[in-house]
Amino acid sequence: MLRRDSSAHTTGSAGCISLHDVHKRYRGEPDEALCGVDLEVAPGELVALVGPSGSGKSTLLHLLAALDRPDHGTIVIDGFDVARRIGAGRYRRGTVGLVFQLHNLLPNLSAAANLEVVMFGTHRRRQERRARARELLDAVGLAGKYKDVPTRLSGGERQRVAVARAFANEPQVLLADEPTGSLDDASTATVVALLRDHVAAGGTLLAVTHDSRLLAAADRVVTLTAGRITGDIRKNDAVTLRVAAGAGGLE
Amino acid sequence: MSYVGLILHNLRSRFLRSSVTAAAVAIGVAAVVALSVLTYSLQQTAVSIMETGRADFTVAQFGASDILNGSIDSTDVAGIKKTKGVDSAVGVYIATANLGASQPFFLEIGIAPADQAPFGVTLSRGRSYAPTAPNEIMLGYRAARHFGAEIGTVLKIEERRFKVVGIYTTGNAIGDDGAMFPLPTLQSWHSKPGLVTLVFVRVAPNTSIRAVRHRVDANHPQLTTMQSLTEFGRADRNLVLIRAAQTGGSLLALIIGASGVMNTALLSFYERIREFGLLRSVGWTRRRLCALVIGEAVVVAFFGAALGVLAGFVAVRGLMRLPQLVGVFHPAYESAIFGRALGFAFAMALLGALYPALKAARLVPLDALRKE
Repeated sequence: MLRRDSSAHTTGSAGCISLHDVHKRYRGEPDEALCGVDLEVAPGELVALVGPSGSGKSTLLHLLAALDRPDHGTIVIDGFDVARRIGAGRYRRGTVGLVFQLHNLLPNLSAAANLEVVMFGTHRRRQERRARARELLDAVGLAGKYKDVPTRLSGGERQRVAVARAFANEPQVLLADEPTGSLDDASTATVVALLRDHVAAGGTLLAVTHDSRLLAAADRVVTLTAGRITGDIRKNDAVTLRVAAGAGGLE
Repeated sequence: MSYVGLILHNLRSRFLRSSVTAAAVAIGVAAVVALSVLTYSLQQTAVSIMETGRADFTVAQFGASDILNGSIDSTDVAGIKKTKGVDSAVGVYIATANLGASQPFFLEIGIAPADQAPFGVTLSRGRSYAPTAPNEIMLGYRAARHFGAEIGTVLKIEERRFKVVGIYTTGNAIGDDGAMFPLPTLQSWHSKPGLVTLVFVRVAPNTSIRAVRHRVDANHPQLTTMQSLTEFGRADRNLVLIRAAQTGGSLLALIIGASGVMNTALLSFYERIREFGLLRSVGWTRRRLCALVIGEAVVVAFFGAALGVLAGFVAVRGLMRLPQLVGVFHPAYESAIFGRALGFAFAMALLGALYPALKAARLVPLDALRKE
């Protein structure tokens, strides 16, 4: 139901994430948040990004979402050069879907309206936006909560609204920061299934996570330490993947 | 949810702030409406006097601070009469008398009996006064009704007694609310023998009014000709000053109103930085965000304008009760006032919201999301 049409992209770059020698340093910080990151993610891959606090995971997601720009290096997603300023709004609206760690819902809007505003500027008409919002909320188990404002929702419900919102414009690439962080077991299973559906349909998912169930569902686990990629384990190495999922020293 | 629906929802969910902004707009609009109605009405009152005599154009003293206090010599009147293309030229002395709270602006028109017909006067009862009668007058039918006067009634006007010998109509409310006097009587009473205030000119059939005006203007540089409300407004220095005061007051109201809008819009901006940052991070363009902020201000301006027009009418009712304006100020409303009020409200909204809107559009999404 939430899947995008995999035939929508005809170019070979559809859903591809490509980072080359990416550097980022925040003003006033002595150390680089990211130093020389190279990463390729193919369409249809679910990549879990792990690492200790301050390792640069969120920074990497922000750069991929064009919310920030690298100091050096190139980031190309779905054929879009993320470092370009022009077209960033369209890119964020159409190419990527973003799940924030802190949910970031608009407090004065209902759950459904939080999804609908994301669809402004797309081809969808008002009725279509409403139907799409309800369809997505149903999919994350929030049927009947359409009109509830965030303050009337539990933390888990808010997180599910945030996940549903990321799907609103059928993005090719999903970027998620701890998408299951506040969820109970049942909700986690629902969300993980949705995310798997997305990659099964040819979409790409890069998720910062420490949730063992999402790690178990990942095709790759990439470890980031002090701004550098220090591990990149693929699912066909099942034993290593389990080790990575239970690795100590991760937050 | 539609885009307009989002704008209305945002305003409803911040009702107090929206109301304060609308109030700031309303105060500015009310000031503009009241000033506009006052200026327009004063102009209309003056023009009504001018229009009492049905003429193709009117001649007044050039550069007079108050045209109704201007002076034109009888030789000039004779000269105008002789101008090529002039059919008739009626010299009229105009004064006003304060007859108490009910008639503080009683119009006195000094005119020769022979000029009454060209002036547009119709005698409805009685007779005209004798050309130099010292104590005979004709009353307009509205004034007669007001005083309960009939033919033969003796009326006391500023310590002098006059016998009503006729009742007239002119088809003009202000003219019918006054009295007509023999020209020399009124001139000598006001110590202006041989002088008139205005000359009402009719041109001969099939003659260009413009050409005749041009001749009069050329032959009498100390005089000015007027044909429209606008020309009257330009010729009367008092009205020019009133209009200048109105423009100045309106600009001041615009600045104050726009400052009020900007103040609340800026407060709202700082309160909503995270919201704007989030909208940008999920793909809203700068233009769409800018349009949201300005759209909200425009909707507030619309409600503010509606409130302001109502408040302006209330203010006009208040102005009517001012002792200085009783009898002089007859509120007259022109449709342009409402258009001006609406335009003014939108100008305030745009001026006030533009800076916050640009600030919102320039936000770096990530920085905005990090704001507490």
